[in-house]
Amino acid sequence: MNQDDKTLDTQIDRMLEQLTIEKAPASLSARLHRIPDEESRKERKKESRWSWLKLGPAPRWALAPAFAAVPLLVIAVFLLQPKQPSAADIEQARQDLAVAFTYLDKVGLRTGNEIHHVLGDELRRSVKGPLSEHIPFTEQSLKEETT
Amino acid sequence: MKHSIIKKIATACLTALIALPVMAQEDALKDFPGYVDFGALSSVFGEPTVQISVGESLLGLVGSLSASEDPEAAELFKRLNGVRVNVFETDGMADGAIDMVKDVSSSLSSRGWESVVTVNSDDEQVRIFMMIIDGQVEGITVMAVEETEAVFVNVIGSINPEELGKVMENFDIDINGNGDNEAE
Repeated sequence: MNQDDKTLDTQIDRMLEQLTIEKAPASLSARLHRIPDEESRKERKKESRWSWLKLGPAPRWALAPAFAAVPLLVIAVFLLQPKQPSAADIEQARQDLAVAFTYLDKVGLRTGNEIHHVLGDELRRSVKGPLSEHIPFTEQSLKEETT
Repeated sequence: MKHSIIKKIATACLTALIALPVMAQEDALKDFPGYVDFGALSSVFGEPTVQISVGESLLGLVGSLSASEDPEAAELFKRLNGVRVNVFETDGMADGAIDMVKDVSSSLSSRGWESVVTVNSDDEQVRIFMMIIDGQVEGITVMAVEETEAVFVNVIGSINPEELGKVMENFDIDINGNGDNEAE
């Protein structure tokens, strides 16, 4: 550091000493001091209004069902898509229908036989019964039939 | 513990998702007047040996594809909404079977189904009902319970009984699996 630099430094120091800090007006200072208080009050108000929405700290495993739901959602979308039946599905349906109608036929046939049997018996009794009172041989044939 | 809960949730969701399409098909059929809810059949008869449920879309496709081979059957299938069959093999008359048939029968009668055939004997209970709306058969329900077998059939849709008889004659299936068909 040479002589000139030293002179310059002392000059600057002197000039700085001469500078006076002008004080802010009292009202402005008061207003500026109020700002942090007001801001914190606003924050507190906001928090209390929406506090019911906060669920609190969630455990890490709580996210697992959410992750599990994603593949399930994909499967759901896939399953709910209108599925075009394949040739095998149609063939299976054809066989199912054949079995269904065969069962219907089977029940119908069995029921028909039962009705035929009951009707036949009833007719035989109601027609041959009164006849046998007057014609002996019908009574004999009725006995033979029942035995 | 946490993993078991997650597994349970995932299993429940998956089961519900798989059951959804089947339930949707059953729900779609429930809207038709010819649909019958047989109730909890498995609680009386156990697991079914034959369970068939063919919906409207498949019936339509089968109808279209069999138009050249069997025009009568094709025409019938196109007008049907659904065919449901439940067959149970039983060893003797199942407990509560007769009561169940009677309960379903009275429920059907109260809903406007017409009783066509009733066979009431100790070893056999048969009920055939038809839902007739404006002179048109909209559904047929058959319940046949005997000592060795219980058959529940529900045909839903516009049915011409004469046409149905002709179509049934064309089917020649060995449902007993021993070469001879009782239906023949």
